[in-house]
Amino acid sequence: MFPIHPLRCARAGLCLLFGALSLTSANAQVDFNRQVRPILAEHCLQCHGPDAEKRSADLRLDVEAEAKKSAIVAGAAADSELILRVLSTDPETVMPPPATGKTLTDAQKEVLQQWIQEGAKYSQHWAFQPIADSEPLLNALPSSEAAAMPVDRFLIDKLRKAGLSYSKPVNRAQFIRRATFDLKGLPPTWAEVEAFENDTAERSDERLIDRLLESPRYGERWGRHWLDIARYADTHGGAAIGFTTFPFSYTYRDYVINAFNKDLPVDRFLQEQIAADQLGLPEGDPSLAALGFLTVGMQFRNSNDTIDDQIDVITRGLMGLTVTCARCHDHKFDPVPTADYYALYASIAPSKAPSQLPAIGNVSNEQARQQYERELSDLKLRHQQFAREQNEVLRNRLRMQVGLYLTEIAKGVAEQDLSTQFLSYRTDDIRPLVFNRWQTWLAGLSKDDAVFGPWLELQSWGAVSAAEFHKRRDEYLGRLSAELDAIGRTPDKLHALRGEAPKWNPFIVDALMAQKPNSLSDAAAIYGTVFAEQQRLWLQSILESTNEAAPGGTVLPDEHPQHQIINSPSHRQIRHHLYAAGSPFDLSDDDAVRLTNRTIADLASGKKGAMHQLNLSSPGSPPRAMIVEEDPNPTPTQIFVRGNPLARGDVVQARFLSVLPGDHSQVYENGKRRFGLARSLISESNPLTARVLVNWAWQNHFGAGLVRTPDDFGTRGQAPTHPELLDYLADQLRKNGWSMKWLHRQIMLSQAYRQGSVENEHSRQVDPENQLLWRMPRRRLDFESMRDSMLSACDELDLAMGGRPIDLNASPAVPRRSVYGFVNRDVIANLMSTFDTANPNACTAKRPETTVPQQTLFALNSDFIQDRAARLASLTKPMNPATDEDRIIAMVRRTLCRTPTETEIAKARTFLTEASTNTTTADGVNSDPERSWSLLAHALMASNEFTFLD
Amino acid sequence: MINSTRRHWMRTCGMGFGGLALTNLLTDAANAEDSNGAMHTHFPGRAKHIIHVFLNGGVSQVDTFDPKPELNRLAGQMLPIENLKTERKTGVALPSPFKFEKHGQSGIEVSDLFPHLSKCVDEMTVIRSMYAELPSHEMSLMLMNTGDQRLVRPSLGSWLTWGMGSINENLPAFIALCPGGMPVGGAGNWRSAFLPGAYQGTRIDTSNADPTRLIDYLQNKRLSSAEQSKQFEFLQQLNAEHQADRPGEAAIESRIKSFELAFRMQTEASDAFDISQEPEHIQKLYGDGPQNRQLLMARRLVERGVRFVQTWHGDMQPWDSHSNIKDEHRKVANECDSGLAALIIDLKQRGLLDETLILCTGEFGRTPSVEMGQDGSGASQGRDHNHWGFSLWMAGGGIKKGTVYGATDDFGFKAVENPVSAHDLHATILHLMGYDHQRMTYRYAGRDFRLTDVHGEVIRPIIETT
Repeated sequence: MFPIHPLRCARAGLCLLFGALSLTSANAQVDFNRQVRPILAEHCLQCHGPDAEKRSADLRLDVEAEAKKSAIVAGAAADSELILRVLSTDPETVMPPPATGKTLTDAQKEVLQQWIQEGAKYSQHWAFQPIADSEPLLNALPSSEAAAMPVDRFLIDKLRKAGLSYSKPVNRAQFIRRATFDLKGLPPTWAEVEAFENDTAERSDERLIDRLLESPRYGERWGRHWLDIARYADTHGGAAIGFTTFPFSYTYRDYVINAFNKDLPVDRFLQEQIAADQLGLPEGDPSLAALGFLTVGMQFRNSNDTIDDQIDVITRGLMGLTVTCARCHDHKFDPVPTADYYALYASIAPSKAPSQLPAIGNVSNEQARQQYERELSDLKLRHQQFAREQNEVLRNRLRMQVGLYLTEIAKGVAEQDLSTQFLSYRTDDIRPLVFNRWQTWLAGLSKDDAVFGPWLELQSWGAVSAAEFHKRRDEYLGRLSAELDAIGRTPDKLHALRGEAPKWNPFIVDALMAQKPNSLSDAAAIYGTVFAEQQRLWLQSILESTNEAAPGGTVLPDEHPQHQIINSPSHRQIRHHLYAAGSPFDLSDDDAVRLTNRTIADLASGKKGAMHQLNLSSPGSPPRAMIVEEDPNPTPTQIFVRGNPLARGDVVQARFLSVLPGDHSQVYENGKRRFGLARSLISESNPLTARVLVNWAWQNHFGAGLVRTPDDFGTRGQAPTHPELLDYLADQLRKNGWSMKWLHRQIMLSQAYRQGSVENEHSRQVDPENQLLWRMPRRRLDFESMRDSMLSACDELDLAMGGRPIDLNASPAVPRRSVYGFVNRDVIANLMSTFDTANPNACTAKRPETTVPQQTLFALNSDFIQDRAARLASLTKPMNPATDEDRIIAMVRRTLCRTPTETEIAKARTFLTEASTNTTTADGVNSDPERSWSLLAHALMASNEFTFLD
Repeated sequence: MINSTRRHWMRTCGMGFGGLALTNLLTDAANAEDSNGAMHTHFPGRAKHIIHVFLNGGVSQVDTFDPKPELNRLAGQMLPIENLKTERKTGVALPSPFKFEKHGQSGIEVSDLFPHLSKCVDEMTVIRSMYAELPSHEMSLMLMNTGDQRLVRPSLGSWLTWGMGSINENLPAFIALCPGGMPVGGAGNWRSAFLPGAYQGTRIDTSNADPTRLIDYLQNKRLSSAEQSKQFEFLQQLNAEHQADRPGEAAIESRIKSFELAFRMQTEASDAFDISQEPEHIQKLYGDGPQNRQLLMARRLVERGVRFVQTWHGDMQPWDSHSNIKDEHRKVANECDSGLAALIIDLKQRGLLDETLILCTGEFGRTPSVEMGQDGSGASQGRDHNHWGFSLWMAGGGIKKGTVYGATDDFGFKAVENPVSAHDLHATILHLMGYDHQRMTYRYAGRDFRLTDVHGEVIRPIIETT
């Protein structure tokens, strides 16, 4: 009934391919990693995998010993429960159960049977195995004339086994166009094309690649690739109304571009991005901007989501591992338990952005700088003053509300989720932060505390019957009262200025005795009254004491009851809990303004906004690094059970993933946890990072990686097409100083990279997805290259580097390179989503590639392309001697990097004539012959030849 | 019919607006995500299109579809229950200033805010027991549109267009109409998130009366059509020569086709938005003003095969009547009442109502108690946000006719009988479109994502039996 879906075909093709490649002989042994693991991962592990909580029948199939306890009898498929179940036709017993909607194909069932028959050998998932030593890998391969570089030996070997070979190489003009786009994101100039075509001396390719790698345009091109991974954007995201701009995100972008240009070793590059502040850099070092990797992500309201995003960019982006799946439960498919997720959480959570970011550069305009400094300190002062005043008001209100918070505690609420803190508050709303501080404060007291001892005692009884509560209450309060009586309860004992603090606070004991609480909630109300009364008395007495000092005021002696009583130990015992350092009310001014009522909070954020605006747009605002700072005494991290921050599980230490071999159990040092994490990322024992980097570079040169799921090297990702090559390059990358430029040379000087991108029916049939690289895939310019090429073709491109972002939608266009465009993650510009730019809300390891008519509408109708075309037309006009033919040739060279053929020139001339005669224009008549030249230039820029690479 | 169109579309390698990105599947560049292509429906769906009317800001249920006489009795007194916590403090019971009456055969009560729409109740299911999680506009909008109030997730419209593809290649499959600005949360309401960008809603500002200005780059402002035709011919000639040396290349072929499509769309797409082509009695039926006009536009779009049309009442949060609900709600209801009624009548008379699901909702409701102003008095005569309970209605597309589902408490504060979450609503909508919400998954970053995450139950009682 439904049409056959092309996807199914693609999948079938894939199976066929694997069939062809890996099962060349019918009797070949089943390869666990390649053939069995994907079946288990897709169909079994959801219920019989790493997730302990969701595991059914206590059966685990991803661990050899567990599986062989019951489900698998090695060497005897027919006796294995697993086989009986997958072959079963009974819906009650068949696996996977019909409800999952998953079924195994006959071929898959056969693989499982053969595998068990052959002994059910397990092996570790390829990605977690150590990187193999590169020399033996290479030496195991036959050498060949065609193999210009080591990578060719790996590729040719596989092609040959499949009966295939490389495509014919491209010509020199095509090669320089391909290489220049690859490294600079721009077309070569005609002079460069000519020079390269004429450079027939040996090693001309090498010289070309070296020259391209030396260009600052290289950093802009590859920096942009990296910014995809880093989910770079210039706005916060998630704002309710309007959006907030990062004033300094550009410093991270510029850091990245610079790092590529100077070929900063990637291991160092990664370390700086995770922990630049912990590498002993001098104050104000520009490399501090590297920490933008952590901080330019989406600004979630809930810090747990922000940390989740940081874990995601580190693990998925740099290691190809989807660790954030383990936030709520053990990873369903990969060996990443929830504890590992929280170990990383603990490594990041103590780090926060400071309120003042460090300047990492100067402002050339001294006058502007001075004015900026003046305005900033002025605004800061005003904000601080306002915050301090509002904090006073808030604290005094909170001191009146002891009963409110104790009542909440009496309900048994453990801790409040801080993620809803943004909601506007009314005076009588519970503030989650204050509530949590109450919990902490009370937890630090003992049952001997004069004021809260009775509270803690009552609380410790838990849920007892009313009768039992009464009994214990009378007994307990009787004892307290008696102890107080024994001291003597005369006013001079209890309220004397110099008296001793009583063992039990008389106000509390008396109030409890008088009102006889029937529950902890009752006690909360009683405490509330006592505290509110104390707060009122105290504020009143301050006012009265103050009035004594007013002109005409009556001065009272210190021994006067008005001074004496309020300052007596029993009063002070109560006030201790209201005013002591660390008490629930000891809030920072910043915290306090967030907790004030709506209008006040809005006013305060308005003042902050003014500072923000100043940083953002003042010409005197220096560049600053978006750093984080780590608290050296962090609170312990506990697992959030099922991802719920209110359900705290075991305490975990800051450490690395347990699946990776080596020093994962080593706990990171407090205050340098991110440094520890950065070391783990690049450590010898971590095979993932180097492989992911190699794959990333490969993908950006060949359109697809050796692993075609670049952000999932886990069990459900695709296995590498050339595992040996991946390991060879990963090992060599480390041995060659983690140099990206070394890696580019290895790839770009190969024969593989020189191949043409022509279709080949035979090869396509054997290897429909070009996994063996029998040709260079056809590539289309991405958004940035397309826009920059148009600017470049008409000599308009402004090569200024760095600085605050520009508006890509501005009209007239700002002719800077697209990498400097403002990226708004709140409102993703239509232009950018139309052309498949990276989604800035999460790490993008591979951009989607769509063909939608909005793209071609842009090519047909946008002002941008028509303005560039008009400029190209006028640019080529005064060329001397300006025959039409010369002008056509100049245009084609600037747009398509080649000289047009005679026929093409003739066709263009015909078009020029037709377009300028008998054609009505929007104005009615065609009086300007230049119009036709613009139309011609426009058509060239819109053409497929301009948009696709050979 | 839908299947044959689809088959045709596959065969011609079409890559319409919002259509499946076929190059993705056919070139070597991308096959990494081989589970990421479109899918078929799981079972024959009841609806093929959705018109999602979003009355953004929060519609007061006790003033529209959920009459509460108790509020009249308690006028000026505190409710006998504790006022539930909402964004701001609320006080005494505020009776509805609007009159409720029973309408139609079904006798569903609707207030006099909707004199026209109330005549159509026999086509509707009214759900009176919706609830959201928090009294915050943005979070509730995200919940209603994407199923997650915090994280960046694809919208309902993106999921559906990803799943069902496009019927008309000349128009975007998912269109969001909003006059004069953006709702709170902006493009987040119709984003595709991790689904390919092609499935993002195309936003159109309907305050612009000129239909040719509605889609980016749809018209060439500098060239006459004669000039453009000549240029286009030359361009495609260049492309043909380029292709001749590079045979069998899907990506190149796709872009050539895409040029043809774009060229045609220049006129066809403008037509779809041009309501001046409608006969006068139809224009009259919908009424004046951008809200009514865009509902007529929605019908024209659905008629041309657009999958998912969302109409937003306006910029920011027009239904957010914190004060003077009597006048404020009256004003916004007047702006869309005739259009909403017309939409139901018009779709029905064209035989399109059965295959078009209309969903009319806000992000949450409003409190039955009066909002306390700055001075702590209830002089505002307005209502605060209320996520504890609210109403919405649906019509067409296999939804039951003339039914009320669920109930709030005596005061209309909280959903108490058959409470319905956004996930339940989404599961039900997917069901009506032919999808099992538990099986409609998309693999991203190693996880199979669902619109309903791990929640959601289809509300069977509101589905029309066949």
